[in-house]
Amino acid sequence: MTAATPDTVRPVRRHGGLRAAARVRVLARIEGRRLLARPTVLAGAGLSLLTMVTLTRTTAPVLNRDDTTASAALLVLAAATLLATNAAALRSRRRATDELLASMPTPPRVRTLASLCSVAGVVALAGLLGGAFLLWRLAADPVTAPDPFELLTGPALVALGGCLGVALARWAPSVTVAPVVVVGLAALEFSVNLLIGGSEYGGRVKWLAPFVGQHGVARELLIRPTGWHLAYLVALVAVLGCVALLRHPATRPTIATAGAAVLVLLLAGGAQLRPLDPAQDPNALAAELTAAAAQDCEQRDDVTYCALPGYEPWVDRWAATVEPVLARLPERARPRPLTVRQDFLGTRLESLADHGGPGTAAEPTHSEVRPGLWRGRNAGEGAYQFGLALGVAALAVGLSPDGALSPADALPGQVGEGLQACTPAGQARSVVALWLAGQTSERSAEYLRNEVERQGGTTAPATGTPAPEIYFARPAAHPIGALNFGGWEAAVAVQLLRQAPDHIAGLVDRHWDTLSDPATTTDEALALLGADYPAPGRPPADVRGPGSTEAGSSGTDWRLVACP
Amino acid sequence: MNEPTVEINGLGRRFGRLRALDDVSFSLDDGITGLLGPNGAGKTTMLRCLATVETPDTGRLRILRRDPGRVSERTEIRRRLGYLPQEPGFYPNFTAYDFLDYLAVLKELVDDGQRRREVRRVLDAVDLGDRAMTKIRKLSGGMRRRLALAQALLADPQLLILDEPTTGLDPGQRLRFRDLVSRLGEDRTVLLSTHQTEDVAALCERVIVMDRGRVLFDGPPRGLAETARGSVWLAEQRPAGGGVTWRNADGRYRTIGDPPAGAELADPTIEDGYLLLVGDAALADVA
Repeated sequence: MTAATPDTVRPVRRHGGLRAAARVRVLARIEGRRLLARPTVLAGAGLSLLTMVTLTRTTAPVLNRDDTTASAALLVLAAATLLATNAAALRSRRRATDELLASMPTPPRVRTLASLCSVAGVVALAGLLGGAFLLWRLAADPVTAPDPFELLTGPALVALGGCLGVALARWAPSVTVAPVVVVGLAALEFSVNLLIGGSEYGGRVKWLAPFVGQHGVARELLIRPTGWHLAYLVALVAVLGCVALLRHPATRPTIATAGAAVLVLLLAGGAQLRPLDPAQDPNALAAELTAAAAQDCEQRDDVTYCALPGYEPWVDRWAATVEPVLARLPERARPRPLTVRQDFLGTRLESLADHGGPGTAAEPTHSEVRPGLWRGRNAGEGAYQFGLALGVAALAVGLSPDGALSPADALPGQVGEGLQACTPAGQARSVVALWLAGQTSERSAEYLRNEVERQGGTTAPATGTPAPEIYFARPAAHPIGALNFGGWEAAVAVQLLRQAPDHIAGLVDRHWDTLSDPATTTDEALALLGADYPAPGRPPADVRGPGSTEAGSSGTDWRLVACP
Repeated sequence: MNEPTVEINGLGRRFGRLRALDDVSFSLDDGITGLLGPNGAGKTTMLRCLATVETPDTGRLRILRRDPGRVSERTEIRRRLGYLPQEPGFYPNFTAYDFLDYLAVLKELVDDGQRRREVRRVLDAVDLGDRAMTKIRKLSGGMRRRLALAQALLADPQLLILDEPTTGLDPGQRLRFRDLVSRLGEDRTVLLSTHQTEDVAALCERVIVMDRGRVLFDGPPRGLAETARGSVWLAEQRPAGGGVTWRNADGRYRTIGDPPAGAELADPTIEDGYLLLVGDAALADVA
């Protein structure tokens, strides 16, 4: 050790307020840097990003849904930030430096304020993650527009987590408290978003929770008070910050800020809880938006494509899937008129019906295929193309759930509790429909092959037995929403896909009337199409005919009948 | 006449039924003062009061010509104070530099360049310049002790309060510490609490001995040694009976207290004076 050199320094002497502000700034910078380097925060950021990507990787960007997804994913970072700021604010206690720090001229209040301000770095990181996610989605032909308030909700949640961590450290200075609070908040979010679930129309109290998801309901049908909720969150952040500071002797600015924040909190919280106008019936809105007059429809050859506002770029994608199906059909078999009309089906309208109206959103006609509000992408693209093409092919071969569904029980295309579905298992026309859908693109064929393999069936006749039933992604809820295809027919279709498409198309053309007849069996189709896939040892489905009752595989009571 | 740096009159502090400080009075000026006493003597409470982290129940305390009972004056005192607690605590995941940088901000060094220079200065002062970027968890006990001393030197304090600063230092480091503190004591007030009488002998111009919350001795180290004159003996055989006896390097037995048979008087040291002064408490510490 050497002696202190004479050129030692004295602290900068300035006006008290300025000095405190400068200390807060420098301390916040130090704490902020440390916060960003904490493994908890880094892991939270990584998991948030992973969640964003995982939840959207296989679907095309729909920005008015992706904005909420980004906020949901940032809940992970918010929880991590809560833990990290709590640990940082408890550092002096955990490491027994309280006595040393108490001898410093900087009061604990300045340290608390700096801890609160240090959250800004993680909030900025959350903004960057959300922004990067949005840019990634923007680069892939997005539709609709994001809600800026929804986008800001994620960073606000992170700020909330950070300030709550500091407040807990000041008022409940124990390392066990923050993890317990995180578990409690996770349980709250789980209850609000998964257990209570349902639509926005099921009660507004849930908006007092930090994050409220879309529950699978189309954003277009929801009235989400996103602006008020953001104001509510920001006010909550300010209140928590003041609560943390009030652990120290109160100052006038702190009391004034706390008062203003509580006022905004009550105002914004109350605005969120206002009951909805009964005129805002989601089913009526769905019917209105699905009506042809409200949609931007485009005629291409014999097909009319109608997209919901904001989804117009998807028309090209639909056409690219529909046209290959029509091209393989005999001229006389092409469904005319054919309309591809986007719909809200498949977005849990049934829950809206529970709370809103009678559930009579524009029923589809016999010549319509109705894709929903999602579109497959990457690994999900084949499923989407196959499902949409299967809808067109089902119409062409005369497969329709009409007559099988009980309109009194359900909205069109919905399969669930108390509903009935039909199966074309054992019918030749289902083989044709599945082949037509599979030959649309290489991805579509690959999807069919994979599903046949994955669902217990096999594409090799000698090595196994096809699954009795096979389930597909159903981007077009109508007309295939309530159709349950047989695994045998799917396996035969896979076999047909190995042959030259022109050859099979020629056979389909030649035998169309027979193949599309509901009375023609799958065995007969094998002979007509030159396939040799033997019938499985047991029937593909235990179907007794229209009107018979079966218990569904889920244990719920729904009826499965042969398609008429 | 100038007011002393520290002025204590009739200071008292109780913790429940325990009287940690009992009517303590003394004053301090520039130079190094040693504070000796057995465990529980009230040394740490005394230092905590001077460091403004403990409030006395009774008595008058003025530090750096200010009243620590007033918030604004207390802050002014803290700006001019360097305090090394007995157990300072560290942040293991901070580097030595980051730790001092953080504490420097708390000492109101908000200018980045100025703070950087100051942190480097105190690191060099305690010979930790080459360990600046080492995480504290990787520093040895002695290095941590030096780091704790370094933080007390931040912002060039006028009053330096060091609670057992040499604990954990090896002989070489202790020598360097003495050199550093002796230089620091040339132009400021240093109060050094220690169990090491050698440090007091080597460094301090003045020594205060405390026991059971009271001041037993306040004077020069030589004076403390003189209190034992006539009570320190050297004998060829280990004497039977009470008192403190130990074997010297020359093989003779040194005894404090009543003269053993055949013993001869020896020149007393500070340690002899201290042991004789605090009696049973010191013996308990020795045991």
